Amino acid sequence: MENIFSFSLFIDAFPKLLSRLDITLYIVLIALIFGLLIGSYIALVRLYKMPVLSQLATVYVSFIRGIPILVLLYIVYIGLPVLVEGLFHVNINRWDTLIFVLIAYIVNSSAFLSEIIRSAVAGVEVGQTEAAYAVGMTRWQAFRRIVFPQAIKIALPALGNNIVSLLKDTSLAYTLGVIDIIGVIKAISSNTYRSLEAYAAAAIIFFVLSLLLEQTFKRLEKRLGTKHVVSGQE
Amino acid sequence: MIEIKDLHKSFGEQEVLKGINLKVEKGEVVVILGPSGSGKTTLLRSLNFLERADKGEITIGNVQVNCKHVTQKKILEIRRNTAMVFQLYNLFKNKTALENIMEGLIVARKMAKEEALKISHYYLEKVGLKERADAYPSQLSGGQQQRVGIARALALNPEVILFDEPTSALDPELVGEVLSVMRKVAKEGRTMIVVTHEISFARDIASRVVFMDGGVIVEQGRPEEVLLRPKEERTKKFLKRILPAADYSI
Repeated sequence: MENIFSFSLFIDAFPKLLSRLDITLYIVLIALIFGLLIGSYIALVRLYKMPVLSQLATVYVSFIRGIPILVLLYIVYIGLPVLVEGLFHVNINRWDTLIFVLIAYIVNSSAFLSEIIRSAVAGVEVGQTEAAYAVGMTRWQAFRRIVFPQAIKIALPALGNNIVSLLKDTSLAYTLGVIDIIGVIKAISSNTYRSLEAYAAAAIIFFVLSLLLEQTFKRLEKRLGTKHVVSGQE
Repeated sequence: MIEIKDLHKSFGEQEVLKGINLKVEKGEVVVILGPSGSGKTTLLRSLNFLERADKGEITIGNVQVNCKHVTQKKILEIRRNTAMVFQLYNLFKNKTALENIMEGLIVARKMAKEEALKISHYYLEKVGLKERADAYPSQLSGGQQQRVGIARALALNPEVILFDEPTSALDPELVGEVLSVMRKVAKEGRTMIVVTHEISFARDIASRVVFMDGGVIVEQGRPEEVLLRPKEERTKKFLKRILPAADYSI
């Protein structure tokens, strides 16, 4: 049995993997925060049909959504320094690899999140905006105080799903040499010539994290749901 | 005072308003009647720029705009001189009944919170919903929602309140409570422009009835004149079609 699956290696793997969990969570958090900011901007550009920008945004979103994250990682890692060198004559080859990884994940999640935000905002009835205008609010006030809070509620389930996929997608960051959870597995397996135990441990860690996220979002939805019902009319 | 001069509006090829001229004095209750598609709702929505008229001049209180060259700032000024009650109520779904009334006062009129709270409670009581202050729109009946909608409009103390078919979406048994609140409002001397199919309301409350058809004002005058002794053929036809039903419901 020890030859097939070593429990001691399995147990030993946990502290080693968890010691790098912070990198994984860091990537998720940064990609989420900046992805939401940039994604919101892209969504608004498209919702308000700003000329030129709106077409650019549409192309950006469908392009980014169409390429695998692994390819995007390499394009950013190899392509960005070439682009920056060519445009600004600045050499960024020595930047920390993690920065390239973060940029790739931000770009990726901004495209996906912009679609979620866009459909959520479009899902808020026009009458809500009209009523806000009718009491004398500016566009921005109407958006911030009336439309956005309702859109968040509509977006919540999709947002939760997206964060879970983002979490799992970070497992490709190691390909550029970032030592996250998967990076540690690579190190363990080259030391012990065994990797199944470490991968099994990683599976459990990712599973538990996903479960926690799911539950958090469920609870969040429920809390917002009791506060006000967005859909449906009497 | 409200003055509309030569207002035009088209949706694509179709001209919906073909030069509307209308003057409404302070304290007047003007009811606009007309078949569907006559442009009455578009006229109402042009007044607070939820629709943008193509041509014409609108004066509401101390704000005058030429619809051809209008700035965002002017639109905001006009809107802050008006309030609207919607057919589908359009209460802010993420706010309680009380917050719905406060929202415009605090955000758009920059009123201090205590004052806004006092005013909001006052008007909520006025429409008979003191006990439902903390209810969200989804927890209120259609009639209750519309009464909050009216309170929201009243609280802003605008030059004019625009009513866009305020009872059309309500179940028949809920129409009465909304109409009786509107009657109360009218008797207080508020300036109102009301688009409605409620002939009884027009007959009892209106200081003037305006009949629209095909994007123009066909006829206007005191309710007993327009409703009982209409001069124009189109008005007669329209009234003949709807009056029996309306009389029956009273």
